[in-house]
Amino acid sequence: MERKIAAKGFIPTLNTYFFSETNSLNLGLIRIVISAVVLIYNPYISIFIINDPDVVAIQVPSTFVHLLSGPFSIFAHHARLFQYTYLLVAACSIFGFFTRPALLLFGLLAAYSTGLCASQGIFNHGLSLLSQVVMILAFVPGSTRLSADRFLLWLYRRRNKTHQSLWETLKGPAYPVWGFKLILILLACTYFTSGLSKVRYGGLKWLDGKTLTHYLDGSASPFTPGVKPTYISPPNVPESQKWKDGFGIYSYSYGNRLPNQAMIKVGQAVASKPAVISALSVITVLFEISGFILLIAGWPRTIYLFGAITLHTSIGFLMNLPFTEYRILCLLLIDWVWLFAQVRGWRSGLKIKKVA
Amino acid sequence: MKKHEKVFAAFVMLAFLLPNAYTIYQGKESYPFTPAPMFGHYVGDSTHFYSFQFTANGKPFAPDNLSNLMLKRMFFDKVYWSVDPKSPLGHFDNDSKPVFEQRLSKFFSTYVKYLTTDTTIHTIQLSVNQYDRKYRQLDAHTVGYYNHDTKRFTQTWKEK
Repeated sequence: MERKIAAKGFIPTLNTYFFSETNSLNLGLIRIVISAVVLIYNPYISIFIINDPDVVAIQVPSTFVHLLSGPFSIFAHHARLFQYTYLLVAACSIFGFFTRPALLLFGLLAAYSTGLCASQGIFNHGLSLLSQVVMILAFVPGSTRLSADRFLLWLYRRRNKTHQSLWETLKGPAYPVWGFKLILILLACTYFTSGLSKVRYGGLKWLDGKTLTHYLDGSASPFTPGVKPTYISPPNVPESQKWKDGFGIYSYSYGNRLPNQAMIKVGQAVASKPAVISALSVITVLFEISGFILLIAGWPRTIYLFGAITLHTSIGFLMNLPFTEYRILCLLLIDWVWLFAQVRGWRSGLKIKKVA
Repeated sequence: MKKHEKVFAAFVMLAFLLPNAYTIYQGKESYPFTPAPMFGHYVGDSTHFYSFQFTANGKPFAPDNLSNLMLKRMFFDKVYWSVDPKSPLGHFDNDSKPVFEQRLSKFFSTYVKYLTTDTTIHTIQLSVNQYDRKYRQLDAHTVGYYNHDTKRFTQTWKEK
C-alpha cells in the first residue's frame, strides 16, 4: 500500500512515515462514512441554541465554542438557517460536492453544536473525536477521492477529449499518507488518555476492579429499584476542601444505561467474581494505555483495532454504551487490502504444504 | 512532495495535535478536546455518594431535585464546582465563599423560571445528602438559601 522509501535517520524516517505515497481509497471512504455517522448521531443541531443570555452566561462554553460563537452569531436567532446549513454541508461532505469547504464547515458546525451541548451538561465523547476527523479531512490529501467533484472533473475532461477513465478520475493520483496518520495519532491519543485517566483520577487502586463492579452490578443503573445518588467523593476528603457543604464533593459518577434485565444479570454475574473483574480492569487499562500501538502498521495496528472494536462491543452489551462511532472509525482504519492479502498468503501457503 | 506542502502538512498536524496534547497534559475537559475521564474516578466500598436537594415551601422544589441528567451535570460542572484540584470537571483555583454565592445566585435567579412556574416560592433551600456505597443515607447538610425576592443565595454552612 504505502510506497516505502529507503531512508535512514530520524528525519528521513519521519519523512517516510508521513509523506510516503499511497493509492488507497480509505480517506475517501472515511469521508463518506464518518460524515454520514456524524449526521446520523447529531441530526438536530438547532435544539442546542439558547437565546437567553443569562443561561448562556452560566453554561460557560469551552474556548473552542467561544471562539466560534463570534462568526456563528448569525445563527443565534436563526435556528432554521443553522439547521438547513448544517444539512446542506453534511450532504455536500458525504457526496463530495465542493468537498473541502463543505467538510470544514460541517466539522465546525458539528463541533460547535455538540460543544453547545457539552456546555449544557453532556460531553459527547464520540462526536468530539469524529467532528475533529471531519475537520481534518478538509485539509488532507486523499479525502476528495470518490467525490462528485471528481465526477464533474471527469465530465469536463471528457468534453475536452482528455482521455482518462471514470474510475481513474474518481481515484485520483497517488497522495501522501499524512492525513491518515494524523487520524491514527488522534485515535491513539484518545485511547491512551482514556487509560491514563483511570490511573490519574482513580489511582492504582482502580485496578482492583471495584469501580467496574459498581458500574456492572446494577448500582449505577437507573433501571434497577432505589435512589441512585450520582455525585461522589473519597472518604478521606481534607478538611480544607469541606468549606462548601461540610462533605467536599469530587465528581459525578457515570451510569449503566442498560435497560435489559437479562443483560444486567450478566453484568452482575461478571461483577460477582473479584478475580475476573480485577483482571478485566487491568486488561482495559493496559490496552488503552498502549494506544500508540496504532502507529505501527501491519499486525500490531490491525490487532489493536479489532481489540478496540471488541472492547466497545463488550461495553455496549454490558452497559449499553457501544460507542458505535468509534467502532465504525476503527473498522475504516483497518487496512483490509493488506489483511486479505495476508489471509490469501496463508491459504496459498497451506495449499502448497498439502501438495508437498 | 514539495517543501511548502510539507510545511502545510506539519502546520495542520500541529493545529490538531497541540490542543489535544495540551488538554491531556492539563487534565481538564474543554470541548472538543478531552482527557477522557469517563469512569476514571475510583468507586470502592468506602466511597461516599451525594445528592443535591432543593426544597421550597417544605416540599422538593423539582422532581428528584435535579432529575434531568444534563442539568445535574451542568449544575455540578458550571455552578457548584468540584473541590478536587485534580478534577477534570469544573474546578477552579479562584473559588471562595463570595464567588460560590455569586454563581449560585446567578444559577437560581435564571433557572427558577425554567424549573417552576409556582409564584408562591420565595425561598429555596439547597442541601446535600450523603450516602454510603449501598445508598443508605448517612448525613445531610444545608448549604444555604436562595431568596427569590432579593435574587441572592446565602451560604449558611460554616465549618465548626
